[in-house]
Amino acid sequence: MRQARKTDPFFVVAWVVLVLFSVWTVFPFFWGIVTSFKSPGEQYTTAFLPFAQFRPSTYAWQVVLGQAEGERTRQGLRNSVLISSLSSLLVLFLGSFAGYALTRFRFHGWKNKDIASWILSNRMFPPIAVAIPFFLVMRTLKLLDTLPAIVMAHTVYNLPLATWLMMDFFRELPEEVEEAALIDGCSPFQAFFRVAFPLSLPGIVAVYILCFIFSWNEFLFVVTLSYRKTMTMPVIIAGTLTVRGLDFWKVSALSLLAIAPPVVLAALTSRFLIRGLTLGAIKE
Amino acid sequence: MQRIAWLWFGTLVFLLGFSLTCAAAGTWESQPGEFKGQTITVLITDPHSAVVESWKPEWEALTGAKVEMVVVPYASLYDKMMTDFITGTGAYDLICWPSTWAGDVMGGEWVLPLDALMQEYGYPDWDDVVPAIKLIVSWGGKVYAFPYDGDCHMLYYRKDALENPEYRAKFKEKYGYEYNIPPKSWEEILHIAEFFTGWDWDNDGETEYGIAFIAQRKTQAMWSYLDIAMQYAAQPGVAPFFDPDTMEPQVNNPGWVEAMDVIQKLTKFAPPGLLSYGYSELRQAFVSGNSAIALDWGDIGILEQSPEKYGSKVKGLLGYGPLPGAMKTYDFKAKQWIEGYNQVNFLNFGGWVFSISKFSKNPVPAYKFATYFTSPERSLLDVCGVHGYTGANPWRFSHFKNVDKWVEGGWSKESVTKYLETIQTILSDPKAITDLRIPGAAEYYDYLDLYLAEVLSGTKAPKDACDAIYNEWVKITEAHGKEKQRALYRESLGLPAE
Amino acid sequence: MRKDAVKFGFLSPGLLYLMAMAVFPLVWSLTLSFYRWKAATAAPRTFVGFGNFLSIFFRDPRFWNSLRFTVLYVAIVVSIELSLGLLLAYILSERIRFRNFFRVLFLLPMAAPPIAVAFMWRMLLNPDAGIVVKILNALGFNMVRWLTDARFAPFVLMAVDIWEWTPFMFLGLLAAMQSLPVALYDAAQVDGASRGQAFWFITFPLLLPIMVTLILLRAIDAFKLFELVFGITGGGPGTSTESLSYYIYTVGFQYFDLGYACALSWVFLLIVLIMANFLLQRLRRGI
Repeated sequence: MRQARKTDPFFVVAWVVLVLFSVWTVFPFFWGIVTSFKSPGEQYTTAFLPFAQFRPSTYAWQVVLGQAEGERTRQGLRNSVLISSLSSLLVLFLGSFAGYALTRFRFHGWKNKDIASWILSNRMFPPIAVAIPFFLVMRTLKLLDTLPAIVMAHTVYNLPLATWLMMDFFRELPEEVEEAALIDGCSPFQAFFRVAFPLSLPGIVAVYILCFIFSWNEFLFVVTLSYRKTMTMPVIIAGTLTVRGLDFWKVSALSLLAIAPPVVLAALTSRFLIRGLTLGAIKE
Repeated sequence: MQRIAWLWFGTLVFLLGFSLTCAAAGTWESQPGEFKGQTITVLITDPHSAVVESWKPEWEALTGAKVEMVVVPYASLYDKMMTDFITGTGAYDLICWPSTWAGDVMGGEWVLPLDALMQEYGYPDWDDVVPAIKLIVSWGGKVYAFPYDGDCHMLYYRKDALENPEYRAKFKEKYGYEYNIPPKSWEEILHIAEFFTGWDWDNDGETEYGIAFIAQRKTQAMWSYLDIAMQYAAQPGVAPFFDPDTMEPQVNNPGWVEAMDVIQKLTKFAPPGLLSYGYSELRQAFVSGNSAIALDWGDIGILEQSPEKYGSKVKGLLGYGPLPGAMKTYDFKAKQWIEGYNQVNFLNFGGWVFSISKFSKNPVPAYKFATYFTSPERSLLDVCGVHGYTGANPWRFSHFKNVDKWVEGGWSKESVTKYLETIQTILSDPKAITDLRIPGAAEYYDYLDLYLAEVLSGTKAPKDACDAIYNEWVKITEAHGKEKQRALYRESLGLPAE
Repeated sequence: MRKDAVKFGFLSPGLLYLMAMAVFPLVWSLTLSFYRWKAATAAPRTFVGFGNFLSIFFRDPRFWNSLRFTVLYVAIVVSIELSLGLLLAYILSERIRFRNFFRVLFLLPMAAPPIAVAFMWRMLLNPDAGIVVKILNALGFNMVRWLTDARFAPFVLMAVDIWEWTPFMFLGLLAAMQSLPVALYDAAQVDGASRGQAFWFITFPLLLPIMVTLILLRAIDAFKLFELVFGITGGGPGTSTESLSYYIYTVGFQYFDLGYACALSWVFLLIVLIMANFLLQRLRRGI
């Protein structure tokens, strides 16, 4: 019915906003793609129409994926995928448990609110201050330059956010369903796994994706805790800023490689993100 | 009888073999299979990694050792290295670092003195190393690093601009004198830069400017300033940073303030984007032809040579010269200006070097690998462009003699002769001034950089900025301990400890 | 009794993990904050009591400068991102053509690594070769001035932040709008409320609590601003874009003045805690 009102000024304004914002959003990506297909000699020109204005070259991609640095790039991508998916999984597991505990049970001494605030405060400390002590811990555990070290660090980094978001999902979930399950003879853990967890699945998927993205993008912990075997994409990108300067073509190609996986993931799962992240704002 | 002869023969063979083995152990040249199964780890940044990358396969095949590279971004090299040191982790055997950190790295004794190893295994032609570079790798009379790169700022100018007779005539008409080529003093540069600003002197349809230098915050813009400050505040062989007797910072004396004033004026004759020029932006802008004069290390020269890779539009158009001097200089001891021409060579940044970590478990393979690729013939390939852009600039006398290899690396004979001559003059000057080489150098320089940035952007007057730097330097000196700093400063200048 | 076992069974894995990983770093840095330790030169550490904290508050203009910049930055970017996010979420919760396409499109920037974003924008904004600079120059804006003038450079950095993080606000608000009860709107329409009235009197109040949460989460992260400064401006021109996080990084990882860096970190934590507390207590109660 609303669609019928084609002349509604709201839609005119809306379209203007949408078009402007699309240009704003897409332009950097677009320019990155164009630049990554230019030869180094043309990297600073304003040409943007392939074939018409410049001859597309795969030089950048050959450097980044080919013999020279291909090994490093592929390893970086592999590490990024492994670290992000594993740490997000761990976060999900620990976070949903903690979030469930804080919404379904009442704690004394330290009240629920205090515990929740303390958990969140772990995200407030500047990572720089934690980097060296983390390095010491990992060295003692003989975990430097291993995946577990970075997975552990990223779990600390993401757990507070995940716990908070989870609390909101479980708060929204009517308690009666689980109570019914308990009466049917389920243990509390069974009730959690069979009832609460599946019911809040869209939210849980959303949290997983968010944590994945945050972990994928994290830079300082990786730079401190890894040497060679566990470099992730952001660190490899940072390495392109050398004393020779910023090679536009190389940065573009590497950045696109680093941007693509989380962006594609976000695009594919945007439905879950939008439906899942209601953040428990509106009740009833 | 025969048996005795055989015995003698056997002994002889054994002795011969033994002495040969001993001789082999005592040479810096790597022996086939000598480090089988051992691994050394190298901490390095791009583009220097290109050097290790090129020699690694050869050396691995020869010695049976394995070379692992940890390539980190330049911006996190210092913290990677220091974190390893202060926690005593020892993850790296060989570290490639810029000698401007000498005060911390050598002064903190985080790296191995090489004298004992050099005694035992020898070093590939130590006398071939340019004196200034020998100075840079030493601390308190001991050698702590392998020379690898000869760094000094030089002056680049566009021959098609400065040498154009028509422009020279116009310049003379306007300012009443003829400038030198290459320009000799900052007073001259101020005029030349002004003259070449704001018009299209190379007829490419774009407006050009007078001078370009590194000016962005945190990209070590202070080197550009120090190039000028040296001329107004130092004399050859007399470092101007502190009074070595009292450890009083000199940074707000009239010489330094004058230099601050000059650099502030120069910003008016620079491309509009000057304040966001880091190394990359400067080099790219200058080789794409937007200004008449630039200050840089040897790097612009290398980038100039390859239009296809670095977008150079100035191949063959660049002239090279030493740093310009000044028409007066301030003597901080006598507290007065000395009139007359003064030119000081300054070894800023000091060049990259390799060191063996104190915590290394494999110092001998590390030593032999480093000597392997820094030996005269091999290092030549790294500096002359045959191995592409490695970030290393010439540092051995033999590098300057072998012009043919440079031509192979893409240079024209005429350009490279001039280029090498310029660098060699600076590096072999016995009175060239070295970088500030005391603990906390990074901190002193960062405050210099900070207030310099405010002068460049015009938010602070030169004198105020110098006073602000002075206050910070006093604070830093006190935090490190004034007496200790004074002793180390004197040591770094080669002055007696009293 | 059993119930206790259950509830701690749920809570303890996460809580213990956090404590185990966080306690050592916190104790380490708190201890060090009472020492002077210039670690780079192998100097011994000396106990200085509250000396570091006194220096921070009374003798460190750089701290105050970076704090001022950071607070201003957080206030501006968070409010702009919130308003833009709200606008877009509102438009895209209406029935509009290609709705799903735009919804996906507008999410993308937040998925890109900040360091990559920083370098991409550094390219776009390069004073000589940057395409954005060239376009704006052609349109008659003196863009170079914006990048190199200490008064304007912070706004350039903010623009990049807004590019990257508006999607976060958009996502949160859109998700919330999806779950608004439709019945209320039907009732409003029956009563003859205009679109604007419906928004101001129904949607906005319902969204307020979630906005507080979003602001809180975004503000905490914005306060830790590091990668964009590291990748684009290096804190310059002058110290005009030096964030508190970047200042701590400089002191800790460039000067290796670890005692002072730890003290700064604790001051940082306290400031964020106060800010978070203010948001949680005051704003939530006010609603």
